[in-house]
Amino acid sequence: MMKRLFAVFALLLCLAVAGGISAQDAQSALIVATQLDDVITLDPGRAFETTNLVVHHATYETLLEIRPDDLVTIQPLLATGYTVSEDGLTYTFALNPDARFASGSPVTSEDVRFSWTRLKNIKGNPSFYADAVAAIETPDAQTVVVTLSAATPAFATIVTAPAMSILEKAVVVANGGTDAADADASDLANDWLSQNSAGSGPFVLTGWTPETEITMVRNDNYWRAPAALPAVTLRNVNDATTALQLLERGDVDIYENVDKDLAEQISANGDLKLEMGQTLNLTYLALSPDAATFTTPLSNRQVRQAIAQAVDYDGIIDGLLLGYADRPASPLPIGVQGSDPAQRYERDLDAARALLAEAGYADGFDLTLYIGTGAPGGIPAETLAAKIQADLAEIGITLEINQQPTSNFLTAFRAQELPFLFSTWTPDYLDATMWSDYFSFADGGLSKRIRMDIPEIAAIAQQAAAETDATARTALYQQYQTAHVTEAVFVPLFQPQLLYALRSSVQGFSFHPVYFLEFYTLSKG
Amino acid sequence: MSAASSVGAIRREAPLSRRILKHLRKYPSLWIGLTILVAFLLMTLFADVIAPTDPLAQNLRDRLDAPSAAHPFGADELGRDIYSRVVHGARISLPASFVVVIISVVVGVLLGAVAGFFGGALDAAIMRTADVTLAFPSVVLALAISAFLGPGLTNAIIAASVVLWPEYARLMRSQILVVRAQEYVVAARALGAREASILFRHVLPNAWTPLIVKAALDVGGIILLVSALSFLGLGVQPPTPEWGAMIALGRTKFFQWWLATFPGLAILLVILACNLISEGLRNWLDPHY
Amino acid sequence: MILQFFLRRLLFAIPMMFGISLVLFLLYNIVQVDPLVMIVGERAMDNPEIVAAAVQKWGLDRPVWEQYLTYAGNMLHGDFGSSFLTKRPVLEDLQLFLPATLELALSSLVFAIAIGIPLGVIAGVRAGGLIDRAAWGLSLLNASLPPFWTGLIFLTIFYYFLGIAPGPGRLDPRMAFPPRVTGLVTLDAAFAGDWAAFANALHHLMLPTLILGGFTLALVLRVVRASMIEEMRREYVRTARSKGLPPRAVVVHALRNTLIPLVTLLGLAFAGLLSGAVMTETVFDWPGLGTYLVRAAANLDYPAIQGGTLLIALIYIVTNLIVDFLYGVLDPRVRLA
Repeated sequence: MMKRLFAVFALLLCLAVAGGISAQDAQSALIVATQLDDVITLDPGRAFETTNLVVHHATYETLLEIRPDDLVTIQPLLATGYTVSEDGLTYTFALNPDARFASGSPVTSEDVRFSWTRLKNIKGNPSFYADAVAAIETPDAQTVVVTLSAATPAFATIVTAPAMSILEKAVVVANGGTDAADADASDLANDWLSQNSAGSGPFVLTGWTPETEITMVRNDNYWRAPAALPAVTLRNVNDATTALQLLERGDVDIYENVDKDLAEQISANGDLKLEMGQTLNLTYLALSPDAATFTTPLSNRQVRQAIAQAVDYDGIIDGLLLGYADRPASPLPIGVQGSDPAQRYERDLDAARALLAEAGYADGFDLTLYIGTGAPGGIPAETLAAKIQADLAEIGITLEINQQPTSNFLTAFRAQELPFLFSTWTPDYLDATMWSDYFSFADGGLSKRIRMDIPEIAAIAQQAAAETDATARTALYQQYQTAHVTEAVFVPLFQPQLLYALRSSVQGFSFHPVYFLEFYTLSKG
Repeated sequence: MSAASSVGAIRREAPLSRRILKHLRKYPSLWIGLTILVAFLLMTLFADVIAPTDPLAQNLRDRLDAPSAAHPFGADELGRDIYSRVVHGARISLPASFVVVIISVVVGVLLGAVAGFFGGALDAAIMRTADVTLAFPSVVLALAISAFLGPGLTNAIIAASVVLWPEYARLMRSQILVVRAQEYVVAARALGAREASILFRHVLPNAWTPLIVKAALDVGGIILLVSALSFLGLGVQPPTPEWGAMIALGRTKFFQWWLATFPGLAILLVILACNLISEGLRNWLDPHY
Repeated sequence: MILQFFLRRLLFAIPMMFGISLVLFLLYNIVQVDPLVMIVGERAMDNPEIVAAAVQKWGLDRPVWEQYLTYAGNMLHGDFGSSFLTKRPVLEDLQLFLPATLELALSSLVFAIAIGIPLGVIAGVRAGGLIDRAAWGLSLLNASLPPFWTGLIFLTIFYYFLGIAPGPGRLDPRMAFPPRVTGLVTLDAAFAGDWAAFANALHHLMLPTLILGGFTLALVLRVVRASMIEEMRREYVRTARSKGLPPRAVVVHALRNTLIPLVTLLGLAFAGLLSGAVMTETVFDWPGLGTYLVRAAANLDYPAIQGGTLLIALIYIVTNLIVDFLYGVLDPRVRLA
């Protein structure tokens, strides 16, 4: 019996070793090594994670779009154009009569009304995109009239967000979907929409295996020129070494979110190329100016300015991020209207010490830095915190680090309990209000959480958001930046870049700060 | 037994060094284990002498440097000296696990004694709580508890103690039940000795052998548990040099193998020492084993 | 009688489960974690309608004791609530993640038995010999290795430097998963006749099995060795040997007597494997219960922590039950009381 057991075991072992060697034929589908563990649904009405964006951009379309090569201009997509009423409350979209869903049916105004109403009524995590929408009318099949509850100059930009994608009503309804007022309970399309798509995009979703892969095939009914790639597969690869090996062997074509320590090795490999995506994500230090509730010296502006001049930005960006990051001066990232890096703080320990002395803290003080888990820009939060701790120690500030699970950290942040922290802000759409709405007001956004009540900043933000003239708006955002730099409540640490490693046969790479990769324009030589 | 004691009687006259040597040959695992553990204890006491580099000092120019003369164990992402962090890390892991074991022994022995001595509803309540706690695999329960309590060394110590005490309670209770039934205790009680004094005079001396063997074994297990919690991000707060947390930072970096290797070796050595000691103690104190 | 035994023990298990769930629930509420941010996402927290809908849907507005009673009541129907993070029913999640853990635990068990018994026999028959001492050292080392570290080191050596082991995960990312039947990739691949995937899955099991199974191996070895030594001292063995009976027969006989302690041990070991999987899975990116629990813990996903922990506790209890039962079958002296 023992002998037989051994024989079986030996056989299994041989099989196991052989399995590691056997190769597989190259396929013409594009395979992307990425991380899929954030995906919890692929229903555009419910998903509010990161990976779903690239899938939704490939399988669905929005009325308007912002192309990766020009992040300022809003361009037509399913709509040929739109008009805004004088009071800014009514948007009228004219749909493109050629637009077709993957099923072959035309995209109609009813589909638009259904999609947006469903998004709103599901009361899911992305439902806030439709917050401004008060009513949707469909005078004819090609016209959509949207009435907003309040003037929202950013609405056209919001319409370009993947969450505002247009779903084919007939298909969604046939699979349990509804846009009824009680859709949060009665809509049952989640499971179906997580495995299939009902959109007009260049690809069709064919399946999602949690933690493993997402598969899409080309939409052969696509109403514009069909995509070059016959199929796209997103594979879950958590480990950087594995991802690189797969890429080197040609088992995958793109490796997303490259470990920065591997960049050099990739650049040196003739079969591979390294592409960079400049995100509009912002990792910032927040210093509460509040003196009523918090009792930290941070309420003194000079102390905040001193800290802003004590942080070793170059050390963080060149040393920890290996240079793969930019740094704006204020919460407005580089690339956004009015943002100008020339005004940013640089490290100047003498100036910082002088400011501290002037503020009456020549001997420094004790402070707690609150952080969540995770790795902003690829640096573990605890590593970044330790770096800042060492930097501030040089001007006599003794920092204690308090790290909590991110959900706890966010809860405390929201409850206005944390006077000093760092966190990351990622845009949902590309309008300057995506930042100025959140970093300005005492009664909302991140500024509320940090108990910032600075009327000057709030006033400029309000004025800029309502300004429709582009030049005047840019000028206002410049003022906005200057005010922020002076106050030093939100001090940007870095604006990271995402690295992509590609097989050199892959052509047509582009990067978009909201949805990242676009498969439509990609091809494989 | 009788042969062994007569051998001991003859050797009693031998010089101390010879006796120690003899003992060492008889229980090598105990001595090897003790030597390693004492070495680590000395390391915690003289960390500043053995590793004069500040374990928190950063030098980005040395970022992720491989082991070299300047950094014998290499440097981490902030250019901190890993050798120094490993040495100073002993100051976190060792005391923490001693504290856990002490808390667990005290709580477990008290509760177990109370349960065994008074019986009835109190016994049932204590032992059912112990049963429920023991129904969890320890890592899972500690994970759940420290998740709810939040990260921090104190919370990790609490979580580990909650996991550990029931075993001591059980051990203590069973010892009490055995001793209580023994004739001399029954006699003592009949003679009017107070229950508590019986407990301390008769039960504890009998119980301490298994307790100590178990505690020695547990120190290793607790080091593992606390470092596991830190590895999962539920232990110490940064930038404390804790072994599990250091391994976690090297997790995704195979190409910088030194990040995880050295703190792991430290954990391995300490646990090995505890296992050797416990094995040796068992052989020494319980020759029937 | 057997049925009675099972029923009685199961009845005992039920209050145990409720006890466990109550402990976790109390802990959770003592700490006062607000799960809302995790449920609706950071951005949607500013929308009172979404927040209100979530509060109502997840019953967060009701008093704590009512929340627990609802949870406990649902538990009786096999409903463990939904995960805050994945929004899926916890039971569905567990079905998704459990097979990976089972596969790893089973393969570790097979490994431990296949290597541990022969080694134990040799070590026992030739107690004090080279193999015996080597086995002792190995088992001591095994008991001292932190699994999350050993996993990393093995990956670094065998995967990164030598390239003879596959990287983390259950299957090479370039391979397609076989259609899911049992959730055990090796079995599913065999059912589908996909031998390349079968071999690859086995290859991926190699390192985690070595690490997770190593500990159990040490235990098996000790028990088998001890009973072999004991058996060898018995009168009948000496007689048998003196009569020239082949040693094979002696070993088989001795092994039969090892069965009882071995069954007890394997029951305990299986439960140990489940908890050991928590650490091993994290290192090997193994999408099992451990990975699920660790992620839930990091996100304070209370229903997931509760459900996952309860499942492991249940498996633990049931395994003990089966062990006790087998004990009775194997040893007629033990009555099923």
